[in-house]
Amino acid sequence: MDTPSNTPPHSAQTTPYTDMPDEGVAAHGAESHAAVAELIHRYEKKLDAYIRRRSNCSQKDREDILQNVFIKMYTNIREFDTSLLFSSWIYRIAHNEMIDWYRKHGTRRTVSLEADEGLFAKIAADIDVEHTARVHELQAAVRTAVADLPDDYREILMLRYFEEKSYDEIADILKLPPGTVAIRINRAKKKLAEPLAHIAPESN
Amino acid sequence: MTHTHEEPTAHYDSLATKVLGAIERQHIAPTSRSYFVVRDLALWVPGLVVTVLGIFAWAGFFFALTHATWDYGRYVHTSTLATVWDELPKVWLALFAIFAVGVTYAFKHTKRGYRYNAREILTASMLLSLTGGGALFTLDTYYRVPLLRGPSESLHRAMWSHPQEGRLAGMVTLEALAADAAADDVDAGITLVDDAHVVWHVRGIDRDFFDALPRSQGGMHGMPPMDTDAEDELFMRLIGTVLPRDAYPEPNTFLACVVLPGKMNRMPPPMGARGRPEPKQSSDTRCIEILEQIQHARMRN
Repeated sequence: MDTPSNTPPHSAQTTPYTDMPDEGVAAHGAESHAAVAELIHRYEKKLDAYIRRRSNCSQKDREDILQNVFIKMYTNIREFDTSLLFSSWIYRIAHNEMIDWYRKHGTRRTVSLEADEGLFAKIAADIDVEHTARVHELQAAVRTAVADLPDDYREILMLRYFEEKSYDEIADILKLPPGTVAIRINRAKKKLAEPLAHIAPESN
Repeated sequence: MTHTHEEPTAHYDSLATKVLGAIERQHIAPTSRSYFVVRDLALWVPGLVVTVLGIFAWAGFFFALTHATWDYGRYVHTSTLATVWDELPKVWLALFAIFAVGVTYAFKHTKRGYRYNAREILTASMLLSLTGGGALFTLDTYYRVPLLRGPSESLHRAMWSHPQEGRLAGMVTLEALAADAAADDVDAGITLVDDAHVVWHVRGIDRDFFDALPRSQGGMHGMPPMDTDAEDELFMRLIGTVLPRDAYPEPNTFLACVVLPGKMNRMPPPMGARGRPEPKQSSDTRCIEILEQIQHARMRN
């Protein structure tokens, strides 16, 4: 399970916003720098990991991107509708910031997937591989297959399995209809299943 | 559990400091709420206006579609295709709507997928048609290539200035109409002036016909007529035949078998038996044979 968004990070001092949900903190973001700092503390790790998975940029570049994300968060904090999920909103900002970064640096989107055994095992199992004993063998293949996916499919799989976002949240982040999200996840899984069937035909 | 590598906390503790420091140094302030409200209104208010205008536009389109030249095309054009071509804008819009539905269905039910999505295909089709049509118009080929005159020729008065072929168009002035009525001769017909300024005497139209029409140009169907102006005129299109000179005292006499007052999408014709506006057909018994002859003549051309 992901860290609940309203749990205080271990390195932060206790503030009036510590026990407040994200949306409540964001409502004070325009008037209180402490609220802004609280939101930064809550999302810096998650967004750093998200940026790291979506690109091969250096730590310096990641810091710059993160800084831009949170400055944009602060600049547009009055646009945020507190009746919606703050998580989806800030991921949307990070997503757009990544696109801007790609454009500015003229780089192709590359992938830097960590050797996250648990997650790749989860993807492999979700593709309905029958023989779970072979799941570990297939993790490397899954990792390669994910990296080879088209950008749109890979991004959706990352949000679904790595960031553990729901279909509705993914739809909000990527500004897609929920039905399109479901279709793309389904197609992404089918694309992943093809190289797995080739590598481990016994598992089918 | 969050699946991320552990990073030194000092890095993260300093990020908030860096961000807030940048905000202070650059004097960054949150954008005011009113900006976002105005931005949203700037999008949705015009959208609402466009939608409301679209209601009236589509009402006009449906009116034009139901009052198109289908009923009398056989007397005016040489083939069914020519009639369809005459109404091309309406035909295209209907076909494009069918195409859009078909494309949307195909893209939703495809197994293999297509390179482009439905929205791109439809937008490209629309843009190509729009720019191509604009280019043709701008290059003035419209006037040089007869094929291109079709789509608006029904409104083109030149096509209707062929009395010897059974088509006559012109203006009926209310002043002349009043004079005709004062002449107290029910057989005298009405006076019509065509584009060549030739004065015609039109028979086959009852004076009562004009009482049923709004005395104005430009009124949309269902809207109240404007006040009559002494200089007001009625634009008429007639299908019929030129009567022999020796049979009538007036030099230019035309027997109107079908009367189409005004442009069909601007003035409502008289109500027909089906309860909706229809072109007026004359009760003169000669008209049956005359219309057949016109129709056969067009088919031979």
